[in-house]
Amino acid sequence: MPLLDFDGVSKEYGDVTAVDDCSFEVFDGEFVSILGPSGSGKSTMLRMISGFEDPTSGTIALEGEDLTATPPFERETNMVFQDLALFPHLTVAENVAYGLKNKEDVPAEERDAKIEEMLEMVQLGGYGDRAPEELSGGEQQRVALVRALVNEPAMVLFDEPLASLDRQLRQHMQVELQRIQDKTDTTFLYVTHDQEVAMATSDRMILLRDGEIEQIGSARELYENPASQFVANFIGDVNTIPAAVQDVSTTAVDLATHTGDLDISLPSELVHGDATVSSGDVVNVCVRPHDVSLSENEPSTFSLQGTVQNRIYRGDDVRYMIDSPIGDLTVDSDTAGFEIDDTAHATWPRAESHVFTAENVHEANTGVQEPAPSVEQ
Amino acid sequence: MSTGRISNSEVLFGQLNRLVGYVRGNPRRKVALVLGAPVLVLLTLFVLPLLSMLWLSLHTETGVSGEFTLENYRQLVASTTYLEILRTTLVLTAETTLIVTVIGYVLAYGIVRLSTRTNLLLLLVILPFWTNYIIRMYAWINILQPDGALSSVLLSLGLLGEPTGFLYNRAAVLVGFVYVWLPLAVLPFYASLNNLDDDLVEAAMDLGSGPIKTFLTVTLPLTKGGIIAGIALVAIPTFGSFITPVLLGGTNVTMIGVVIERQFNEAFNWPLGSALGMVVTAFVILTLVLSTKLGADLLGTGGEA
Repeated sequence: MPLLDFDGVSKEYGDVTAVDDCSFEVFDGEFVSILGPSGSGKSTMLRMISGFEDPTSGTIALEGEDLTATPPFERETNMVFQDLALFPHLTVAENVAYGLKNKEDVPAEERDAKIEEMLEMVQLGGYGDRAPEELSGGEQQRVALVRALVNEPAMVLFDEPLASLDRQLRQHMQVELQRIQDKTDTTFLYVTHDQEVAMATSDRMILLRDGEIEQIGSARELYENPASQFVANFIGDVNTIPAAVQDVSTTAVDLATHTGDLDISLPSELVHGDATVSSGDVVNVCVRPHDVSLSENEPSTFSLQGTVQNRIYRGDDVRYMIDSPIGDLTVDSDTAGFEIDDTAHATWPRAESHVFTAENVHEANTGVQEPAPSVEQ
Repeated sequence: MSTGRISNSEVLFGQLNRLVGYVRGNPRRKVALVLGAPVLVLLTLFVLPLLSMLWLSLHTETGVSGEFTLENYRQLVASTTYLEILRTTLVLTAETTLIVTVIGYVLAYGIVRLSTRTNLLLLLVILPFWTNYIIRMYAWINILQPDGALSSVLLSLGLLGEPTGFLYNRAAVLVGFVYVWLPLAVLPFYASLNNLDDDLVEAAMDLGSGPIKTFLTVTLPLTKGGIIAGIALVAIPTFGSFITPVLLGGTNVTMIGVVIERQFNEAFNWPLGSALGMVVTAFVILTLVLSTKLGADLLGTGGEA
């Protein structure tokens, strides 16, 4: 039985559908991220689980019990708020004690011992008497986390609490979160728009788009097998090359760019989604920058010729911007051998291509609109 | 203007420029200039009259002659009449403040939490404040007098046998006070409730507190500054009030402000009036000091208490 069963839930505000018939499950001990751009409905989902919003339809069950009619203060979930929401009039220890005091079965001495133990777990031992505002941002994050964890909830909900931290502290807190989750054996449900945080921490990610679930899977599954162009764009960087289908056989599709600079035959299993492309359809060929390699001489398979427009030294690799006839290509290469204005041939293993049907197939078919190739960051 | 001749205005501007340069040249002179005017106004209009009242209260005869004496203050403490008046004043002030605080807080809470038409409702709360004080008092006389609105309504409902007046008693004065000072309390209450972060209320509920406990442990302590400010803003004018007890209380309700007025205008005992005035001043200062110590948010900044 799943710990959380989010079943066919929708939330409408007037004419706006924030969450549209979404279903997913979270299992005991998992670290699951709900990932999506702002406005995709991820915070609304979290607020429905914590009880601050009621679903328009569908049911939310925790440990097999339907939560839909349960008020927030009776739910076995605790939330780490985006702005942390530490009580400014209470000390650190009083903040952490707040939830425990609402549980009748915890005697005072046991409570104090537990609070100190939890504070020590996040390296805040002895900070109990301080006011929250005396603590640094990272320390406040840890107090907010402990305030939720100390109640031993069935699930801790996170509403992007790391968003306000600088990169270094955020990366440190990601590791901390995983360590604490391991140690306390608690289930975490983490909402974020930051794919880096989600990829670093989660066992599974739920990728949202416009209130609908686009794909559920591990970071690796989403990165290597994106279910849609949107997923490919959102998780990691990707080059998108528009191409027209020339020929379809049982095993392969032949594609060509409208400029004729690239002719490529790909195994048909690389076509994602409803794989029924037919001759004349416009599709997008997506390839990760680090899968593309550059060479001075034209390789024997297929390639795009272009000139190096820009190169960015990034420590462990070099990012090249290649100006090719079909638009800019981004290439992450281990070799630093190309200079600006050099000619280079870009190619990649066929199997690393992802083919998605262009979303406005009909318009594209008329030939009126040729979508510009682009790199989504 | 002909060339070669220096006009008067040019001379004046030249001198002004030199003065500005002189002031600018020294930061101390700048501070003196900026603070000088307000300090002068405060001294002449507030501190001097207060000192002259204090000086007057330490003499028995009107005028400037005679020795310093505490006779007036001794008289206040020795007389049961004055102590009784002081007690009435304090009790009425406390009652007014309590009622205004409860009604005002509920009103402000409703405006912040339950309504989207915040500005309109706040305007309606403040609106009576812009009407003349005396007119508002006469409106209440009109309502409470024997053939007034309240009596007529109660008569037609069959709750009264004959026309009855509700004027000239403590209750009438209390109603007047509550009505007049309510807007003063609602504004700081509103400011502090409006500044309260919704997330904190949700955090309390998320951590297992029901609505009442959330209110008592989070909302109330975090709006303390506004509450104390509202209490001070109501208690101070009520304590020294004069018009309301005279118009609505008549001779039955004597507050300290009424006695002060009589000492100056009827008994012509200015020193005793001044001594009574010093009691009011002491109450004001004490209230302000106490409320600041308790974290009053008098400027309505909603800052953390």
